Amino acid sequence: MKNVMVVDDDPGVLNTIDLVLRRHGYTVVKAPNGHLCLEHLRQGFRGVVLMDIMMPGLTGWETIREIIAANLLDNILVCMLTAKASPGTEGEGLEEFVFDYLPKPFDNVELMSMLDNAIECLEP
Amino acid sequence: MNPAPSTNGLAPANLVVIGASTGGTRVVTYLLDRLPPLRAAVVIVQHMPKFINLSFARTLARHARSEVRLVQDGDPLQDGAFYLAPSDIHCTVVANRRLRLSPGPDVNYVCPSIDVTMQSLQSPASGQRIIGILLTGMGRDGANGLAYIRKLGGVTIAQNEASCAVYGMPAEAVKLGCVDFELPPDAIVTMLAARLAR
Repeated sequence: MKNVMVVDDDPGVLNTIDLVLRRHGYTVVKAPNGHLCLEHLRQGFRGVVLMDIMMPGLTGWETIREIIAANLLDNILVCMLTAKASPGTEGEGLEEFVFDYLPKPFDNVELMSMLDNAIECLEP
Repeated sequence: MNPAPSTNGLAPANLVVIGASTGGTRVVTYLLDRLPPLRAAVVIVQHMPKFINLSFARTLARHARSEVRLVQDGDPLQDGAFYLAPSDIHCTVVANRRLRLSPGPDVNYVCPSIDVTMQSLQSPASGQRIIGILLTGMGRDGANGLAYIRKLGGVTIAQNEASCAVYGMPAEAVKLGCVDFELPPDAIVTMLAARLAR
């Protein structure tokens, strides 16, 4: 199940990560905002969700809270991608729901290391 | 993940408690991949969703050179084994010999709480070493637990900032002034091997 959903409002980031992950054999779903992320989850997406934090509309943190409220957490692992080095207080209470965290800028080796670990943990 | 054989009730020679949250599964896997068999029982409290408990335990078992168990209530602690606390239930150490799973409210927003596990330890027996390790993670779970281990006379290690995905929990422990060593994962392996290898 090498499925990854990339949630980021920056089309450049979406397309770059999409390209890198496809080269590594991942199936990629792109969501340019939190609402579309939720829609993909309602439609049954299973895999790793790579979530940007700073997005217009729903932020990454707000999107996670919506995911929890809608009980859509089963069979997904949420990894945050962020320009911030630290989540600060915005992530308070979400300790159990953020599987991993990768500060931007990151290189492909770091990204793949994080994803490969998450995918291994998702394997039945 | 074979069942642990029965014990004669002796406490393990040494005890290590590892606490981890966001980004921790990568580090815990790294540690178990590189650690030699230890003369210690190692309890791991990793915040994670319940549905990956078994798969993460299997992942660790693939990497570790010693037995990995997903904790069941009453498990006796044995040297050389790794014990992974399951989600949604607190995991405490009884008399430094045995593990107990107990339902309870979230502590520091989480269950199991690293603080709850660490603060259930008792003073080490003569010659016994207790080591507390706090790895990457959001929030502050484990900081008070590490301070408690220091008060018991144990050794405390926090993952250093540069190697953390999120320098939250280790930073809180450092603020409390209870950290003996701030180390990256490779140095944590070296230290545990030097002090506890069989």
